[in-house]
Amino acid sequence: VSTLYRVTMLVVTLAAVAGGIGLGAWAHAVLS
Amino acid sequence: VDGQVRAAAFVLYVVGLVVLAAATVAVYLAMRDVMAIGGSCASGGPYEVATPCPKGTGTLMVGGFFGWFVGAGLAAIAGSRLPGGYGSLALLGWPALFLSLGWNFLEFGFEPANGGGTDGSLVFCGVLFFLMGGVPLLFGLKGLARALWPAASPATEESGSWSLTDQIRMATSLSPLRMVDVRLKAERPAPEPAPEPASGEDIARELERLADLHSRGALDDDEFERAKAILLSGEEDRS
Repeated sequence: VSTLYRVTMLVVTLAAVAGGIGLGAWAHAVLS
Repeated sequence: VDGQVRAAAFVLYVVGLVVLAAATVAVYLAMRDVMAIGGSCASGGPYEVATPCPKGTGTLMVGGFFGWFVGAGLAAIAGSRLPGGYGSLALLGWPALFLSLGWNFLEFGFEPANGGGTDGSLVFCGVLFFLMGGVPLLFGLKGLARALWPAASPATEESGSWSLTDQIRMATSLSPLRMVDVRLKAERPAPEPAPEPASGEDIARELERLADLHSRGALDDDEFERAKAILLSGEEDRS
């Protein structure tokens, strides 16, 4: 497991969580 | 095939994290909506409803809790299939949920929406939720730090991955619902068989066999030394 792989996974993980937070906030705005 | 499995695991891991985060936010925001109108509401049914629920609360709450488990499971299982083992990260979804809901309890407990002073029962819930989320988080952060900076941690046997003991500590501190990472089973080393009594000749033969395995590369230096030590300590016990 290379450093590049770890950094990429870290970025992807943070981006996925950030995207999810945005998606949840969007769903709340649309539904309520 | 291996590459395809990893690609699928990667996609499912990302999808799981997105669903998990979205579900947590949905539950958090829906709870705030309910707290803002006094903390309870109802909708549907044959009775006259005193406080109708804010629009979308039911969908967000039910969908949020359902999605939370789906997302956490997906991220944990798919993540554990990725090189480096990322399944444990999904465990952090638990502190995320409890700390965010605990925050709501505390915020509306100290300043209730319908005025008045501090609402003790809400503050109590907030403290309880903070404990349920915060204690596992302490262990989780420790494991996360080790996973992100393996070089900085003195424990090298599992360098680069979240150490097994940290995972167990975190998983067992998730009370009352105990989530156990699927990786725990995969990584648990098989118990070493107790050395059987052996004669001097047997030991010599075993040593030869170990040296042979070592020279062929099946055992690394460390494993060879340990196996040798076990073999020889068995010999000492009997003499």
